Amino acid sequence: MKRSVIFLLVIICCTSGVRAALGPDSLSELKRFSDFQQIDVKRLLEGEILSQRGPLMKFPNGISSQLCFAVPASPAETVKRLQSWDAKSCPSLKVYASHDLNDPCDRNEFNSLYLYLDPGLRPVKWLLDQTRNTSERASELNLTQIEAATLARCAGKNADPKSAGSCWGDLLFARAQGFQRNGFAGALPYDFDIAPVNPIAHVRSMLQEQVEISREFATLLQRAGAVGGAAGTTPLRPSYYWRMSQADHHATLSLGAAYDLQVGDRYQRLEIEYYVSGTYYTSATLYEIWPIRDGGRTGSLVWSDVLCSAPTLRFATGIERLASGVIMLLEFKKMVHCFQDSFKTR
Amino acid sequence: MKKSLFHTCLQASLLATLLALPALPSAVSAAEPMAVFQELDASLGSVGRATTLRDNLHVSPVGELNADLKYVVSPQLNKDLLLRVGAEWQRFSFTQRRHVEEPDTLQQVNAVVGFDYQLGEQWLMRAELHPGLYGDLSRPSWRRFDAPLVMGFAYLIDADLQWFFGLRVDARSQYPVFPVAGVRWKFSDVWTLDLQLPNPRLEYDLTDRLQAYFGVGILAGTYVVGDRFGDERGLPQLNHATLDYTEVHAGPGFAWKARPNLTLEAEAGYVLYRTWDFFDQRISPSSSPLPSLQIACHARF
Repeated sequence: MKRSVIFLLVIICCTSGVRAALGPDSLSELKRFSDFQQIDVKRLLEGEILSQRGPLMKFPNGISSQLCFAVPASPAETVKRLQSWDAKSCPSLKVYASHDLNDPCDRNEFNSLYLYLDPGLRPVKWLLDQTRNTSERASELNLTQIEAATLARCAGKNADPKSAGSCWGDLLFARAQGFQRNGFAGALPYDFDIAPVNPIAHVRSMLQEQVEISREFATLLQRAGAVGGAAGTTPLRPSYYWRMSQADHHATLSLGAAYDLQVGDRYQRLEIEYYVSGTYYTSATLYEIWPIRDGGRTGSLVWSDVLCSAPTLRFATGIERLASGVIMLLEFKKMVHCFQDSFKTR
Repeated sequence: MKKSLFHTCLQASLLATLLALPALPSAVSAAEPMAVFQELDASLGSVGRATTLRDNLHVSPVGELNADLKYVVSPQLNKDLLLRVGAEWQRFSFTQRRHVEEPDTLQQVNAVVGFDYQLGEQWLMRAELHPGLYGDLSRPSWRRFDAPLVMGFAYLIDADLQWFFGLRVDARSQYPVFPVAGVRWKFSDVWTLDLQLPNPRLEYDLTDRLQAYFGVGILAGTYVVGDRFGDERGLPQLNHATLDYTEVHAGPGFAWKARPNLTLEAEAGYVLYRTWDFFDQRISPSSSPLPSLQIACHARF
């Protein structure tokens, strides 16, 4: 209650300032589609991060969270930073490797993968064990049946990190090639679940429950090909990457694409993992970035919506899903802190 | 009398609060999609024959069969609030000689009314009221009506570490307010220390679906025995007396995720502590350690 009263006072004191800094149109836009109804630009520029766990979804595997923060750079510079920022520089994010991919990508771009498969690291050992245990009929990993059969033949039961890395390089290269050629329609399913899982269908299901956000990002999503209705528009050319990171104590390989769209003086961005090797199915993050100013200070206001789909959520109880949403929010906040810190060392 | 009045007021106010709670947010959230969760938990336990001690004398052999069935449906009322409505039945059957104070059975049939709520960015809470009949259910009576309240708070640090604080309020019990604290700490990819009452455990993940653990289980409740319970035992002071039953068992077990929504558990060990505490009458028989077996099934829909 006390917190609410203080918050209310802050809002009353700062509303006029916010309007001047962000512009009434931008502010009302942000209020319309986001969970943040009050924003104090001054506090955001001082480093505050606003966060809201999303409502529990009808879609049984999904959770979402929204964040709002500021960085001391123009929207164009912020987008560039998002494109080039190396998450490995922040140990708390547990990212082992992150590499951009060319379009079209080359098999050689995955050659260094084995260097990160250190069996002395328990999360990596888990990935190696699951790779060795994969057969054409069963796997704990996110694979098609054909991929599982290929991986089982390639890696075998006693694969060392170098050969396992090479097998994974082949698999990721084939997935990346398919996506670069065919876009979202080229994303292959995961066959070893209760029913085959299409990660792109999961992202679409989660977006369907976020009507206002989907409307706000309709052009970006359509031009990226993530949703239908792009006929007659120019497709966006994404940037691609592969990454190895830790999720729930498991090393996870992922392939992703990022799409940027400039809309007037603001930018929109979609980052999507169209393939994840295990532990979770997919994630997508939407960003909207506006210019802001407060007195002499200028910067960008960054709003983001994080969507994640995971098998463990499907049969989690209500409070377990609340907790999962909170934990995802806390993890994403760590990333935002690191991203903000990267501006201090430029 | 004072205690009884406190008990009635407490229950009435808690019931009013809990029943009124859903009305407010449901109006606010009419347009939001509503997720609904269902939980079904069943358990069955057997405690081997043993010797009951009274005044350090062996007076009777006691065996036990316990069963518990709980179903809860949990619709989301708004972004931060989930209602919890359901029912629970629990029964303890004891084989015994008639002259000892232990009852043949202790049973409870109760509703579950409560909610889960996000209090703050890192705080979650659960409150559950369990209004129902506790004790000898062969002759249902309002004497056996009780409505214990269970509240729990979780402080989430990250995916690996969470703190828990809880409170059990039961005006009929010898300990009307019983606070607890616990922690869940996943300190490696396979080891988790889950110190949450009533089932604290050290868990080891053998595979993604099979878990071994060493755990302690606490079964406890406050019951009112039958109106002629004491007469039948030559102890008229025990007619419709209140007792706190406590059972603590420990041992190794396995939890197997048979399906993504179905977990089966089996645990073998020893009941380390068991007491029927007629605290008003200062009669409190207990039993020596004895072997036990518990199986459980947890389904989520």
